[in-house]
Amino acid sequence: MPDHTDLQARPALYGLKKQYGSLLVEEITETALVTLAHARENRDAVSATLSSAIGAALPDIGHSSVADDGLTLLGLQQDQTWCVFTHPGGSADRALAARLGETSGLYLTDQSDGWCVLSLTGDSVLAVLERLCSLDLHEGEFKVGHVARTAMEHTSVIMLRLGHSHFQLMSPRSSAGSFAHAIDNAATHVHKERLIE
Amino acid sequence: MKRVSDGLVDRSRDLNFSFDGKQFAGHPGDTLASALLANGQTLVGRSFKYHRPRGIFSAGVEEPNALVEIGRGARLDPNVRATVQELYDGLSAGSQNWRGSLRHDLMAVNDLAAPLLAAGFYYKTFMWPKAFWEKLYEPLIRHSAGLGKLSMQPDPDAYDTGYLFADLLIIGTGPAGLAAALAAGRSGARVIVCEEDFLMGGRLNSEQQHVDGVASSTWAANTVAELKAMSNVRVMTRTSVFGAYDHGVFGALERITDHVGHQDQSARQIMWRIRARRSILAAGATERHIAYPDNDRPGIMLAGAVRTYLNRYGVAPGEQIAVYTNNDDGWRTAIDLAAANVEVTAVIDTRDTPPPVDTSGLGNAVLVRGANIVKTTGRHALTSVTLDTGVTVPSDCLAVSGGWNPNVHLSCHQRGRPAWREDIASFVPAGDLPVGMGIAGAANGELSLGAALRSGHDATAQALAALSHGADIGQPPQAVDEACEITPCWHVAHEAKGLRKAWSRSWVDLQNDVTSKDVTLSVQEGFTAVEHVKRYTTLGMATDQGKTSNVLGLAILAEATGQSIPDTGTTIFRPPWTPVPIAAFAGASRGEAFRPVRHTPSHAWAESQGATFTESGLWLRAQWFAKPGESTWRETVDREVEQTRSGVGVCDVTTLGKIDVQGNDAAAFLDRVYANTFSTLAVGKVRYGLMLREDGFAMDDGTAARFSDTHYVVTTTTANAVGVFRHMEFCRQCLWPGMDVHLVSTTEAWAQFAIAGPHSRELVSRLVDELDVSNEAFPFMACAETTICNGVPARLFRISFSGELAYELAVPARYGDALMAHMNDTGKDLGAVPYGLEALNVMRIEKGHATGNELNGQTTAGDIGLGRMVSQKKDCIGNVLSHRDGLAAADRPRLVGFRPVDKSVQLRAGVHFVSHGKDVITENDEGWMTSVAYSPSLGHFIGLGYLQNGADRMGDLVRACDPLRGEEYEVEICSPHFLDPEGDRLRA
Repeated sequence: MPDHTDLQARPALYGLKKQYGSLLVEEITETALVTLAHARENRDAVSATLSSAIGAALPDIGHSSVADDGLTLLGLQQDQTWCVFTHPGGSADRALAARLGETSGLYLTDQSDGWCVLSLTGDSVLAVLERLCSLDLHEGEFKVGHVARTAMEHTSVIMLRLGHSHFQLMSPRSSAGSFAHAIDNAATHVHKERLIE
Repeated sequence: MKRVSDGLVDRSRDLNFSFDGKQFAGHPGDTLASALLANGQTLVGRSFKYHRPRGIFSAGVEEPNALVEIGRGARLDPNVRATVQELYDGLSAGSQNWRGSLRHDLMAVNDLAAPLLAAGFYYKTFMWPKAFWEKLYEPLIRHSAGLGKLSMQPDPDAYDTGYLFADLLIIGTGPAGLAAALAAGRSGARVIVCEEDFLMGGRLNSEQQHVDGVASSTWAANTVAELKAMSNVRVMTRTSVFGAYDHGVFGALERITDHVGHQDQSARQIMWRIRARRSILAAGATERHIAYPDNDRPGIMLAGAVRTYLNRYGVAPGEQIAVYTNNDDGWRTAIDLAAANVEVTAVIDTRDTPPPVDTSGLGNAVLVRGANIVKTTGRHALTSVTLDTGVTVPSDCLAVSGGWNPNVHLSCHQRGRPAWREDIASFVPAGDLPVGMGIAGAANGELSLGAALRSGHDATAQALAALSHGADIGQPPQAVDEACEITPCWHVAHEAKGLRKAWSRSWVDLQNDVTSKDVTLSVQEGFTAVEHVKRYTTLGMATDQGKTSNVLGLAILAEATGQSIPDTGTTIFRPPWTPVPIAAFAGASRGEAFRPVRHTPSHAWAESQGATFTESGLWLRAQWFAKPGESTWRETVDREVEQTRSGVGVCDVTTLGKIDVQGNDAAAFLDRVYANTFSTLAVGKVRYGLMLREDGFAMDDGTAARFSDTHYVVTTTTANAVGVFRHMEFCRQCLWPGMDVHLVSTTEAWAQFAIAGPHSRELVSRLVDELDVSNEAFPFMACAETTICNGVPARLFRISFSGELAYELAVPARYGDALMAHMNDTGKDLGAVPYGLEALNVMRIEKGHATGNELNGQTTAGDIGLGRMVSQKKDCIGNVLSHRDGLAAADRPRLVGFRPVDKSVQLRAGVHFVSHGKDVITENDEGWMTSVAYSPSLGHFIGLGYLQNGADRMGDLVRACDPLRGEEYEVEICSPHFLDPEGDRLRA
C-alpha cells in the first residue's frame, strides 16, 4: 500500500534571496520550464496553434513572446521553444498539454527541475553581469524580451531580459550552488567597489 | 631635491608611507617614485646582475630600475614599478635584490667580477663537470637570480574577469587619446577610454604647454570631466590595455584596490576582455636613453621624466641638473627647470646645431654642442659628468634624451611589423594592424602637441566613417607644433684604456644589465639576428620588456653587423604590454570555484549521514556511508554490499545521463545510433543498448525505456553523458536533419535512485501510489510513468546494475533529497541502507558489468562479449567499420573474469597478464586487468580484464605481473559473471 507521505520539495538554492546594495538576487521557485519541440516544417502550424491556444506565437531565435497570462515562449533553437510559466506543482508538461489541447506534432519535455531560475534586479545588475557574461548586454543590443543561451563561469545559462535592470537567469540545478557563488562573488565585489574612493 | 610647486598633487593632505622601514610622507596624487624623490631618496634598488646601485629612471610604466616590493606577508608583491604605484596612507614598500643592505650590498662583488660576467657567461661556464649542474650550479644560480622575492604563499586577494563592448576603444589619454575620445564621445558612439595612469592626460600633465588657450593639464582635466558626463562613454583609469587579440578583442587589466591597499570583499584587479568594433591606439611614446660610460648611476634619468616630476608632481629630481640630448625635446627640460628656479648646470647636445629654444633663461648653464659624455661619477648618487671635451660638470641629476620611441606594441600583436621613420629615428606602426585599429598621436610618430591633437581627432573621424556613424565631430583642439628634430646618437665610444677598459661599460638595458659590449659580443659569437641577440644577452626581457632599451640595442646591433636599422628589424612584440598577474587571468576561477561542482539531488541528505564524497567529472558522488565503529572504508563498503544483497540498498544514480528522445522518427533514430534495435521495443519496456563510434569501437552503453510510440528515455554512463548527447545531436542535426526527432537532456531534471536487493520490491511497493509492482505485472525490464508518495510524479524502471532484484525510481529533482530520506526511513524494517559509488562498483564487478574502465575507447562490442548485440538486420553508426579485420580478429582480447589462486592475494587493476615460462616484457603481454574489487559475497578479490583469446581459456592459470610494484601472482581465468550468472536474482 502506498505510504501516502508527501515528500517535501526543495528548491535548488533553498529559496535564495539576497540584497547587494541596490541589487536583489532571488530564486524563483514556482516557475515551470517545458520544452516544446516540433518538426521544422511544422513551425507555422505550431505557431498558429499556440497563438490560438495561449495568445503567443513562436518567437524567432533570440527573442521571446509573452501570452496574456504571462506565459513566455523563449526562442532558443530552430525546432525547440521553451515555455516558461508559473506552475507550483509537478508534471508541468502535462499541465501545458492540457492547456494547449491539440498537441499532435508537438513534443513536450518537462525541464522545470533541471534548472534553477534566478531573478536579478537593480541598477547594478549590468555591472555584475559584465563580470560573468560574455554577451553584449547594452540595451541597444540585448533588448527587453531578448533571450540567449550562453555560459557563465563554465556553467550553461539561459538569460532573459525582463526590464532595463531586470534579468532572469536559468542555470542547471546540480551546479546552481556554484553559479550562485559566482553571482555572489561578482555582486559582492561590485557593491564594495562602488564604495572605494 | 625638493617640492618646487604643487604640481597636480594635493599638498593639503599628507600620506604616510615607509620605504625599507623608514617613514616618509607624500601627498595624494603622488606615485611612490615622486614621493621618494621629494624625500631625497635617490637610491632605490640594485641591478639584476652586477648589483649596481640604481635610482629612478623614468616616470611611467617603462621603468627598468625602481622595482620595489609592496605589502607584507602573503600580500607581498615584488617587482612593482615605483613610478606607477600610487601612494596611499600606510603603504609599505621595500627595495629588493640585495644582501646586507641597499647601500651596502654584498652581492655588489659581482660588479668587480664584471669582466668575467659578460653575456653568455652562464652558457659557457656551467657546462662542466656535468654532475655539478643539478647539485651546485642550478641551486646557486637560482638563489642569486631574479629581482624581487615571492611570498611563497597563496595569493589571498580576489580577482575578477569580465567582458566589455564598444563601438570604439581608445587606448591612452594623452593629447591624441583625449582628442579622439572627445570627438568620439560627442558623436554619440559607444566609447571606452582606457588609461593605465590614475590621472588621465598623459604628457599633457607633464608639460608647460597650452591647448585651446589654456594650460595643457587644465584642458585635460576639463576634457575628462566632459567625457565622464557622457552616458555613452566609459572612462576607465588605472586600466592597462595589455594585448590586442583576434577579432577586435583586447585584454585590459583594471586595478581596483592597488591605490588604496587591500579591501575586504573587493576584487583587487579585473581582467577585462574588451570587444571593440574599432580601436584607436594612442599609447604615446617612450623616451630612450643613450649608451655612454657609466650611464646607470642613481640620478641619471630620462629628460621627459624630469619634466614629469617637475611639472606634474612639483618635485625637482636634483639641485644641479645637467641635460644631455640628441634632439630638440631635451632642451625643453632645461627650459622648464630654469623656469622653476632649479639650477641647470649644463645642456649637452650631441648635435652641433644652434639651440632650438631661447636659452636666455638658462642662467649660468654650460651650453655645449657637438659633445658627448664619456664619464660619470658618484657611487650611490651622481656627482658629476665629464664630457669628451675634457670638461667636468658637477651634477646630482642628469636628464637624458636619446629620442622617443612610439609605443607600437599593441599594433604589432597580430604580427604587424613596424616601419622605420628616418626623420624621427624610430619605428612606427605599419603592416597588418589588428583588425579595425587606427593609430594616433605620438604612437604614430606625431611627436608635436598640435599634430598629436589633430591626429587623434582624425583617427576618430576615420573610425566613425568606417562604422557609418555620421555625426559631426567638429574641429580638433588647437596647439602649437613645437620643435622636435633629432639627429640620432646611439652610443658613445669607450675612451678608457688598459685595465680600466675592462670595467668600463655603457648600459643599454638597465633592467637586465645588458651593455653595449654585450651586444657586440653577441655579434662576435655569431648571434647576429635580433631575436638571437635578445636570447643571448637577455636584452629586452623581464618586466619592462626593454621599453627604454630595445631600439637602442638594435641600433648598436645594426652598427656592429653593418646593416641598417630597418634591415635589422625588431623582435616580435607579444602581449602583455605590462605585467599581468596570473591570478588576474584566473579571476574568480580558483580554489573551490575553479570549476563548477555538481551536486546530486540527495547530496544534502548524504552529507547529513556523514557520507564520504568522490569526484566523478564535475559531480560529487557519495562514495560510501561510514557508520560509527567502522574503521576502514573497506569495512563500510563490504557492509553496504552485504546489506544490499541481503536486504535492500538505495543509491543515488542521478549522474547517469538521461536524454529525452521524442518524435515520429525517434525509434528509427535510435536504431541508427545504437548497435542493437529499439524500434521493436514495446511501450512500457526497457532494453540495454550499446552505441558504437563511427570507427566501430564501443562508445557507450546504457538503457532505453519506451514510454510511447514516439517517446523514449535513454540513459548514458555518467562520464559520457555530455559526449553521447553531443554525438546524438550531431547525428540529428547534421547526418539526418530530415528526421522528426528531438533531444532534450533531462539528467538534471530527474532524481534517480537504484533500489536493489531482495526486499526492493517491498520497499518500492510502499512508495508507489497505485502501480502494481508484482513480478507478473511489472517484470524485469519493465518501465512505467506513475506517481509515488501521494501524487509525486515518478518513473519506475525494473533494471539492475547490481544483479539483484532491483528498480530505478526517478522523481522530479526537487523531491530527490526528501525521497532518499524517506526510503531509508520507510525501509528501515527491511534493512534499507544507502550505498555509495564504491559498493555500486563492487556489485557491478561481481556481476561482470562493463563501465568506463572497460569501455576505454580501444574495445569493441565483441571484446566485451556483446558482439551479438551489433544487429546485422539493420545499419547503424559503426557497423561497417566494426567488421574490419583488426576489430573482428579472433585473437582479440576478450573481457573475462579473474580470481586469485591464492585467495588471500589482493588483485590490482592495471596489472598485465603473461603466460607461464615467458619473460615479463611488452612482447609477451597478453592483456590487462581493468577493474578489481574485494567481493564480500565470495570472500576474496575478483577482477575483470582483457585477455587474448580469453573466452577460450576458462580455467587456465595466468601470471598477473605488476612490474611497477614488483608484484606477481597467479590468477585463474573465469567467467566475468561471478555472481548469479543465470540472472535468477534479478528476475525474481
